[in-house]
Amino acid sequence: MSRSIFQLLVICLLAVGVLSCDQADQAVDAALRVGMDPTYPPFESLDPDGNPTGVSVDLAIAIAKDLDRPLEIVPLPFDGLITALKTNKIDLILSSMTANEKRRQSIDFSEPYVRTGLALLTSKSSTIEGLDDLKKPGSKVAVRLGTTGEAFAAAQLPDARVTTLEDNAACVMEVVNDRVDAYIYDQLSIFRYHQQHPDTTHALLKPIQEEFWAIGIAKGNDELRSEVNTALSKIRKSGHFDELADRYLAKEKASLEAMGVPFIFVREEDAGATE
Amino acid sequence: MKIEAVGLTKRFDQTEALRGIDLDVDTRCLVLIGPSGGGKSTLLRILGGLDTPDAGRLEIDGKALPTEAESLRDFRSANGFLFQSFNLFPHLSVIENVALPLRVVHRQSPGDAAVTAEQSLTGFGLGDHLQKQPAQLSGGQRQRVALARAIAHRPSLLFLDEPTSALDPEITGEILDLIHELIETGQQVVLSTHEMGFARAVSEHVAFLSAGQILELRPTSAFFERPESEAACRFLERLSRYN
Amino acid sequence: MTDETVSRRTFSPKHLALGVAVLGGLVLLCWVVFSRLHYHWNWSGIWEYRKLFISGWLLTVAISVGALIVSLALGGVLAAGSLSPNSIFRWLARGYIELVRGTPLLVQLLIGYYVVANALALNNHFIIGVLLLSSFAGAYLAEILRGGIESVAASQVEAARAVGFTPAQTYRHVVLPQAIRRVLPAMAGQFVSLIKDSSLLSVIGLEELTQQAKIANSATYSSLEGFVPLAIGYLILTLPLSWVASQLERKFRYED
Repeated sequence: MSRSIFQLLVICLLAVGVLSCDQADQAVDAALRVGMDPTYPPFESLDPDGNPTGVSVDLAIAIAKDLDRPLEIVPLPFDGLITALKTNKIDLILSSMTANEKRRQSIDFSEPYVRTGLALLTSKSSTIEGLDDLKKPGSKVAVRLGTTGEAFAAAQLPDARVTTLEDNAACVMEVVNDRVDAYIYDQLSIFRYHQQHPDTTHALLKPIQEEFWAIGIAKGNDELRSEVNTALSKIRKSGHFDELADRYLAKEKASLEAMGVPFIFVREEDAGATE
Repeated sequence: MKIEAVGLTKRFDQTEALRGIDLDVDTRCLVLIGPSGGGKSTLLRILGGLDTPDAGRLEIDGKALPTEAESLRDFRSANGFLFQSFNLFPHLSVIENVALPLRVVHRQSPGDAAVTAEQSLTGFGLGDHLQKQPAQLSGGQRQRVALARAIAHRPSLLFLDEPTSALDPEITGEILDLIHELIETGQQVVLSTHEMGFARAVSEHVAFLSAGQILELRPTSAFFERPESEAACRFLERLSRYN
Repeated sequence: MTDETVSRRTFSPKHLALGVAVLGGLVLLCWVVFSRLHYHWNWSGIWEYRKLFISGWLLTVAISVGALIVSLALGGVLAAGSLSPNSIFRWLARGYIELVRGTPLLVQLLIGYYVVANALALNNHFIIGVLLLSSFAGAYLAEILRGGIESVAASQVEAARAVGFTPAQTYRHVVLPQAIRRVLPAMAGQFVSLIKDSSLLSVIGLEELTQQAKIANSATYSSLEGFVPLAIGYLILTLPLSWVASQLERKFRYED
């Protein structure tokens, strides 16, 4: 009796596994598959019930609505996003991805929707106050694998000792434990991490390198690209971005504006000029 | 049984274990003796169907020994083979060691196999050890289980390859007694052994092998009273020196 | 050659006290180490995300069970192939085993997912993940099994022949039972590795336990808290497995 219960349990578990994964449709009017790495709140995250939530999720919803296609969010690790786009596992990358030259060799980007930059989370004992200090020999920095911070360190900081880690949290811990002088990552995250660790970190929010985030699209898929750009334009004009800012990024907005750093969402008038 | 062989040859790598053996004997119990490495085991294994000769002809009871795998297997299953080192199945219980071949090879029903196995084992004094593992038995007990396994299906021929060489001297007698009983009740046997007293007591014919050849093949009493070959004389003298 | 039954290990109160003391010492050590980290622990956030941990754990269990079964079957087939008298089967099996054992699992997952699965038009991530993980573990299991089979003494095969077993019967009744008993500890170790290796399946988008822990960590801006339920989640799976394996091993033990 207990043996057949066990077998039943095994079958149920396997069924759960099989059914919990969606099949991707091949038809043209199919869902808009948007890939993102849900480990980056408040842009990409999951709520306690496991549903995608955040700025990028709301943006994806708005775009899908404009394109009149059902939305499917596909969670993937960040450094797998480009490959997934290239092998047609997803249609768009909407994951706070910086549009840079290197990535443009593999994929196309929409017009940018966020203007931000690389900032520094520095440790308590570090004397670093800006880019020049970073460039001094012997400085120790942490960067996250596959990000523009990593590329920046490789290109601009040849004399620094660079620790490359895959996990965001691990990079923060390097700073908190005073094992590196600074973590090079994007502005908004640095702001939040400093809030988490006020006693053990400083945040230098003035960008050492400006970056633009855009939506990734498979190379050559010009039709989808122009559709997305049109949708972005409409969303900007409707003031939706301001709503998102208020909902998710109120503190950041206040802090950055107080510092005189322009808040992140690209204005309609700047849109064409920044590509 | 009637054993007829002509020119049996068997080679292992570079050594010739059997060099053209001829055999013609009609007997109930044949014993093979001789110095180690002389070919006793090899000949016994060929007679028992465990190895096939490289050359030569072999007939037992008028039927040629099959060379094809399946028929040879049938030949083996109709007979019984006892090894020097027992070769019991260590992961099975004592009774299962005997009953499994009965079920799988001889197609007996589980009930019949169990009964037959129990009978054989009890006949050898192992009635209290049926559920034990071989590792829990002494050497003598293990050989008795092996013997029970070999005869449970009432084989026509029983082959014994130095059945007591791996046993303590005190235990040897027990096993020899059991084998003697079997022969008395009519079991046809071919065996190889170093126990000359036993060989003399139970066998009808003796084959003396040395260096891959049969030097003498004679009725038992005649051989032991007066061996004809010098090699046999020397061999027997060496064995009896300290006995 | 003994007449004794297999000895039993008993738990005395002394053993229990010793175990508690060691465990207590470890906990104390962890507490001292972590307290020097200047870290603000945020346990409520992790508790809030418990659904994620549970769903991730269930998926890890489903993956592990599926991969366990399939890898065992594959391992058996590969072991048989690598021992086959047919040289084509042998070369195929051994080639596959060497290839899989010689390359990192991550590489196999990525190539398998992006190249092979695309070519075969397979879309269900769970099935792909289980198959890839099984293909990996199966090769290791095959080597373990082959070693076990080869270690069964030739005299056992002799005895089986003498008794009249066919080759198939010899394998089934004599060789395999002994081989499996011998390799149980190694196989259990392989299964434990398999459960832990399932965490790599996040690269192909499976939301198993490790991935969910990372998500919960970042959603609550924690660095470490999420890893505690993660470790516990894996231990819940691996400890019983090790225990069952050692029980089986003890049950089947015999002297050769």
